[in-house]
Amino acid sequence: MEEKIADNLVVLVSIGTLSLFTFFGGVLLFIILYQKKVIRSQKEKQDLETQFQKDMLHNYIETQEKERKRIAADLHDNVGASLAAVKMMINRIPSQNDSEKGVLEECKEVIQKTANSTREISHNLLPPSLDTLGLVKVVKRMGKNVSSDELKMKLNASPSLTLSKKVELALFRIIQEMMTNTLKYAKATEIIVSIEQQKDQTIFKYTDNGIGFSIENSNGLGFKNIATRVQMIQAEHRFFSKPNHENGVSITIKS
Amino acid sequence: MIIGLINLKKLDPAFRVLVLMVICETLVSILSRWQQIQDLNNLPYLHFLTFFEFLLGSCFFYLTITNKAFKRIIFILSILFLGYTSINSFFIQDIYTYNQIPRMLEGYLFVLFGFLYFYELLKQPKVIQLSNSGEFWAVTAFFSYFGTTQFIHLFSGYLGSHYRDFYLILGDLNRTMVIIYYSILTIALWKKKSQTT
Repeated sequence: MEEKIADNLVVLVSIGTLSLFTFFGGVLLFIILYQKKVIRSQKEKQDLETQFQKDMLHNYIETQEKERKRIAADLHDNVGASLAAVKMMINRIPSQNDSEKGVLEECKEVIQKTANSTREISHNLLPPSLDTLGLVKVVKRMGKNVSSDELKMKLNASPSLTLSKKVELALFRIIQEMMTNTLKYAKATEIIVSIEQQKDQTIFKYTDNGIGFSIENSNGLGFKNIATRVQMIQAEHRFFSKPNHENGVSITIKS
Repeated sequence: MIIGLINLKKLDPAFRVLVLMVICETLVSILSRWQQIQDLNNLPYLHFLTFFEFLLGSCFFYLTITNKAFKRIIFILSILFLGYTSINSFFIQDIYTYNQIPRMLEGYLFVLFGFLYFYELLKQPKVIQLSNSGEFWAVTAFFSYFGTTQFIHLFSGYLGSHYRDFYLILGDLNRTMVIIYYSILTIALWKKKSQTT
């Protein structure tokens, strides 16, 4: 009888221990699952925020392009046309003497310079020749404009390069952005732009031999713009910086 | 214990205390086993173990938990329990009998401290990967042994003094829980070592 009681006690203790083990196992499982749920919802929130920022930047760039197109068109159609009209009117003014002729010639020169600047601004905003001439010729032209005794720009690209309009515009903007940085900060003497078209990808590379930049601090709007434009054409990019040697960006575009 | 000793320098203070606790438990196990082989009553070692195990275990929780209010709770309860267990061993209960009430209380307190840790863990803004957290595994080890052996401690005293054979069965059950406890502690020390390297 007493042994039976003891036996029952042992069974009770075993069941009790197992129950407690199950209970605490359940508590731990709850904590693990709750933590996983929190991690998942934090990740979802982060993904949403990242997507929102990407969408904002995409919209910003698209809006920027539309505005540039509009301003370029307005400059060409309105300002350019008005300046041409003023020049024609000045040509019709009868000049009596040499000093009046001199003043009129000066006016025509200023108007011509203004018209040239306006054309340059309009082309920089949206080069019409990008559609007609293609990226290679436009970049060559850019190179001639920026080259001087202190700075040379080289382009290594096949004239028969074929890229979509979207990709050409993105690369053109990236070159503009990088060139602005080079001219403002880099103190470089050489810029090299190379575009190599392979069977299944195109590799674009912009480098200068300037003082370089900090890749960890590449969170400025310019770099973000470049990153967004690269994303918009579904490409991959990598910034690199070796001061006084090779600084720039490399972009791989899958065909 | 071996993993703890090898990586002692890389571990933070909380885990060094944990290693010390494991060493203490190991030494007491060896000594009490030696006494048992010689057919001597080894229960005084259990009284000693209860005191130092709780002292070091509560230090681990005190160092791991960062919430000041919780730390204060741990401190006060620790002082009270250590005081009680000392008085119990020398004045209330015979040192040669099983100290079931202090053992049970120790279990309840460790479970309480464990719940405080988990509460703080779930409330903190920084989310950590639990499977890689040494602290999580250590607290799980405390839960797995001290939380589940309440019934064993409750009836050990009675069965030990009246039904030795059945008492030995409970001893086997206790040893099983101890194996699980040390296995999880090993994982805790391993994960902590990986965290710090």
